[in-house]
Amino acid sequence: MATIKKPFWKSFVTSLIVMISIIVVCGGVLAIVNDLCKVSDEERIQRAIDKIYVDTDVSLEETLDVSTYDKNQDIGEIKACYVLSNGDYLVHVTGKKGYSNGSITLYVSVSVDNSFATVKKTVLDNYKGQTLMSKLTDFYDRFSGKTSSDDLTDIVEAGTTRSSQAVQNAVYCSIDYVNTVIGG
Amino acid sequence: MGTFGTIMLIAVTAMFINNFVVVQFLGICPFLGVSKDIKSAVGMGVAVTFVMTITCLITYPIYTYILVPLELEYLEVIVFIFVIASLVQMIEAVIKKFSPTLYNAMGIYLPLITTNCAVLGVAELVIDVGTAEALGLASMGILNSVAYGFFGGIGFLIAIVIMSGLREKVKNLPISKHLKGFPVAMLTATFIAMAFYVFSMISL
Amino acid sequence: MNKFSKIASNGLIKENPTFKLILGTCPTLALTTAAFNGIGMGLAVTFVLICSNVLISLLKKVIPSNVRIPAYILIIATFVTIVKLVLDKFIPSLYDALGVYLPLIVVNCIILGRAESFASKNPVTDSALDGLFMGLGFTVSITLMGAVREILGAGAIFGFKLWDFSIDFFASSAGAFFTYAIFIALFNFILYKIEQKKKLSLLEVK
Repeated sequence: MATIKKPFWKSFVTSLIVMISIIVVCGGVLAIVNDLCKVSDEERIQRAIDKIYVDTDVSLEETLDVSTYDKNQDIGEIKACYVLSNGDYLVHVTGKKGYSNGSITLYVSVSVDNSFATVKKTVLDNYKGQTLMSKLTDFYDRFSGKTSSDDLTDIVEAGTTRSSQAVQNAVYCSIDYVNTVIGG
Repeated sequence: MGTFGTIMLIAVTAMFINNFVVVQFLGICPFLGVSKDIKSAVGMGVAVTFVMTITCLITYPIYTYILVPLELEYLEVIVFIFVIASLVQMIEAVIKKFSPTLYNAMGIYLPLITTNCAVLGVAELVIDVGTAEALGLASMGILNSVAYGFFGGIGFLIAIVIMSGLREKVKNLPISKHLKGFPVAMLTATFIAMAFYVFSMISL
Repeated sequence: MNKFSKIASNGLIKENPTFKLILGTCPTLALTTAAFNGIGMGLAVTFVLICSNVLISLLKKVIPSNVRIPAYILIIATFVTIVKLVLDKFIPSLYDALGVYLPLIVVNCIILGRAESFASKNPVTDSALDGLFMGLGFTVSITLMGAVREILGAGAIFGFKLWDFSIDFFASSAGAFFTYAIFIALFNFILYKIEQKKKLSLLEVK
């Protein structure tokens, strides 16, 4: 019995050692690479900014406190709002009541023209590139130039009725929020 | 929306609207390789559903309650694939021991499932914010994740059974030898994909 | 035919992973909507393939046979994670385009298949070359398919709009299967014709 068991134990132990060493080395390498490739939150916001202001150099100036804003809770949630170096506001907003009561998270840039909050451009937050909503760039462009006095409900993309609603709600909340900030 | 409602929504989404095989293109290798006859198709489908469900049950908590709090998200790929590989080994051993009949029916497909994109795919999808958002949730939660895994597997089962049924019919058609085998299988899949495309038109 | 050209022609044509071995089908169908996605995924896979082939070939004497599959998978997963982290930091547009298919490179049958059938039995340089050409074969194949689907389905190539004519079918999932079917059939047909020609010319010489 002993002669049969010995080779088994030896190979079992070697296998275990090899596996553990591989795991440790791999884990270590990944920890180092992860540190080198960390994408900070500021970088992510800057990427959204670059997506919107494609050719100009715009950067983050100030982060506003959005916790005091609690209007329109049922149709959207303001996650954050940033003041940019060119005077525009960048609102990170989640619009609700989309496809099957789903929601969608966007970045909406709002500029202030004659004390009217006007939408400059809308881009989707992160996406895995597979959903329909991520491919509709023209649809998002139709929100540009809208103010709080405009009716957004007719900006709908065929085949995505409910998701379009979530986007409308997100944009509406953004305009409303900025109006609150500038109007008081 | 209540729990039951959400689960029904997940069921329809995972099985039809976002069918794992013909819409999301996950699990294509076994879909093509094991669909030559209905019996093995069912076996593979059941095995995949089983593994997908249990995988979500384990990977979702590991990611949400261990990796994220410890800021070890970058280990996600390694941990997931390790869990899946170990899970498959364990399930195979357990089934072999406790139910030889079941093992004969679907056990041989189990090792292949480790490299099935659908399993790792569903694990990745349930931890993604986009999936939860589309369903109207802030995050999936364990129950919904397991439901997504289960119904995703059923969707795979449906697709692979339809495929095997069609392939059995097509096998005997007189077609050019260059089209035989994979090309005609792909063409069959084209029709199945077109059928499922109809479901994506439904807005609930 | 020296070894280099043998490995090269193998990876690119004779054992073309996409059209002959029918491996790595998931990204082939999902990411051929645009030529750019095809190149991106292809290069990512090529990178992982070369790295894993080299490392596994280096370690082939050290890894015991009974744990080789888990060990290979672990090594491949590590390289895929590295690609994921680097892309997220330096080429986020590609990271977004690849989406959920980036981590799925781990279970891409091509990589595990080559590790098991080639890298574990051949010296390091050969394995590296095999990885390179298998990867290139894959990249060229899916980029070609991506270009066709992009031109027909969106009237564009690499994002540049060519004309307004487009057939939505090719951009859809059904179109993916269809295009793949045609490519496989054509590829095998062309190979068959070349083989026939070779046989004929051999006969003529005699």
